[in-house]
Amino acid sequence: MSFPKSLSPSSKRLPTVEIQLDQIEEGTSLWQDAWRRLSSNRLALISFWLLVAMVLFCFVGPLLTSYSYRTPNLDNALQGPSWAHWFGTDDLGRDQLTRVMKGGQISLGVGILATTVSLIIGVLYGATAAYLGGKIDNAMMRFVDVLYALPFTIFVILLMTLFERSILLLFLVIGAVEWLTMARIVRGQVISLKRQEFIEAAVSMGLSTRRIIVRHLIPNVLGVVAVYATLTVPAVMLLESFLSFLGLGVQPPMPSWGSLIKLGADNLQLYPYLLVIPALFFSLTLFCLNFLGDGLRDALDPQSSKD
Amino acid sequence: MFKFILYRLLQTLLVLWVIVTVTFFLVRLAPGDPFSAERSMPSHVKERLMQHYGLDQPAWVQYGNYVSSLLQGDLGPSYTQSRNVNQILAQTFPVSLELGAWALLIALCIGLPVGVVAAVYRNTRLDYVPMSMAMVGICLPTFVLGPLLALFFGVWLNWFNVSGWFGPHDRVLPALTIGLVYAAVIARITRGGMLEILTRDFIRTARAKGVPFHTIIFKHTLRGGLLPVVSYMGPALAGVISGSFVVETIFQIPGLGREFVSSAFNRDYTLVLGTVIVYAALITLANLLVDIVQVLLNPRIRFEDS
Repeated sequence: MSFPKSLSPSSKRLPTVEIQLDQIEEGTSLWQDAWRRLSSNRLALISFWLLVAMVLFCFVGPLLTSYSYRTPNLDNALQGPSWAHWFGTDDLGRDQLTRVMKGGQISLGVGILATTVSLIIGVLYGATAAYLGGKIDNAMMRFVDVLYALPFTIFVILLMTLFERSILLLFLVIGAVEWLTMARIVRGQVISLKRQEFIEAAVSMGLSTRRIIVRHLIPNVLGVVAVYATLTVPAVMLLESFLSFLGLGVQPPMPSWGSLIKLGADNLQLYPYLLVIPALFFSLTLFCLNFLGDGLRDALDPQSSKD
Repeated sequence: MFKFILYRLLQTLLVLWVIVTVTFFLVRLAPGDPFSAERSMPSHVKERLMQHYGLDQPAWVQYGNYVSSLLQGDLGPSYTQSRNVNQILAQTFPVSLELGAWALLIALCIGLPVGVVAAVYRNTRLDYVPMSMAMVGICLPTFVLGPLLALFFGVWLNWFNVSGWFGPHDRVLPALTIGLVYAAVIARITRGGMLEILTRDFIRTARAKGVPFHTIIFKHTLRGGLLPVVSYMGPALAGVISGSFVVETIFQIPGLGREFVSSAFNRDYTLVLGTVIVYAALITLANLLVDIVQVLLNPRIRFEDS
């Protein structure tokens, strides 16, 4: 967004106005408001702390257990939960607790990384389309519409079966699918912001372009992006685990919650604990992420209703 | 209306062509070939096989041959099975279609009434309890719900078989697995759509006039309130299809989903293409149908706009 130079006088000529503006803005910022609203939402707050606990469990936990997630110990295979192995052992005698932790690392890690990929592509694409406007915008968004119409899961499965599977390919593929909605959201947000009165007011008050972008445009877009990103993480984790369940995601001996659930599903008649425990961890995480995303949406964008 | 349908039909054909082309070259770009799995195969046998199926020709020639036989309805031979692709599809597709139909039926029969009731009695227990359950349902993907249902109803209660596709009994768990997840989503969407209409002025006017309650719901609100559900049916169908990949693996159902996954693993080029074409046609045609129904339900959408 650029403004004609004549509209933004240099700040040297109006020093007093500038200082007063700073004082007004310090009242309550968007983020302070949002934090206050979020902390009053008990469900979202519980979800937040549960997620923190889950991240600690998955990333710090493996350091505290004395087992390896990859070294098989066939003498010890398929033991039920016990003091030595809280979650039992899997078909190769590996400690299931350690594997659930490691699987969580992979699932959460892929979720966050792929969301970041989709975030970068989506924000750049959407903001560019909104900024350029007109015919280019139209063409860019038509392209997104066409991609939307394609049966993407099928292509993701094709890519994952046909090419050498790696975690890199996995989150590139997932990120490439998930950026579409992000692009649409960012574009819509930037276009509506461009037209809003407070931007006009900021221009007429003589704020510099940089200041308008940094203090007014970015925070407003960031709110929506943050909300949508929180809701993308569970969607990505779902896709990753779906692929891992089919045997197309992360490759053994690396576990993911999806592949652990697959092992449990294959052995559910005799060893139900192999299914129930990873399923519980996975669902709980999805649950928390969805509730936190909903809570963030209410906190950052009070005008939009829940449904 | 006719012009609109014709235009969308052409667009659908274009999308289908793009999908066929992209898939065709994607499969051939990938390393490996249909016969690389059998390591013991002598090289001259493999050469003869490649020659027999025309796989030694340049990709463009293969593409031309494939498209021309496709236009005559021939999807070609399978490279890993003795049946040809048409026969495989004819055997497996009806199974998946039946599964998908049951699943969608369950999703609609549970999702719609629950959503409507939750919207009408909003902010009461009739709203909170089902909607919290819907949130749980959304967080339980098919590959979690399926094994859990199999464990609970199949192993512990022993009501159903854990796997197989023989009697009507065997339809219950797979259809529920896919259906319940979409029932949850449809319930949420229905509630949202209904709420939006219920807060409109014309509903208040109707109430003030003394229009009976059920007339307000069934005549005035449903038509507009269900629009979001109709537009969700396209994505729902795509979701049911990808759900079938998982469910057919879990419950060992001889359907198209399992065939697709295994054919991609085996690089059975023609079978992969055949299944992708069926899926793509299904999804794009469903989207077309959804658009038409949407126009019929909502006179404000003008054909020219699309």
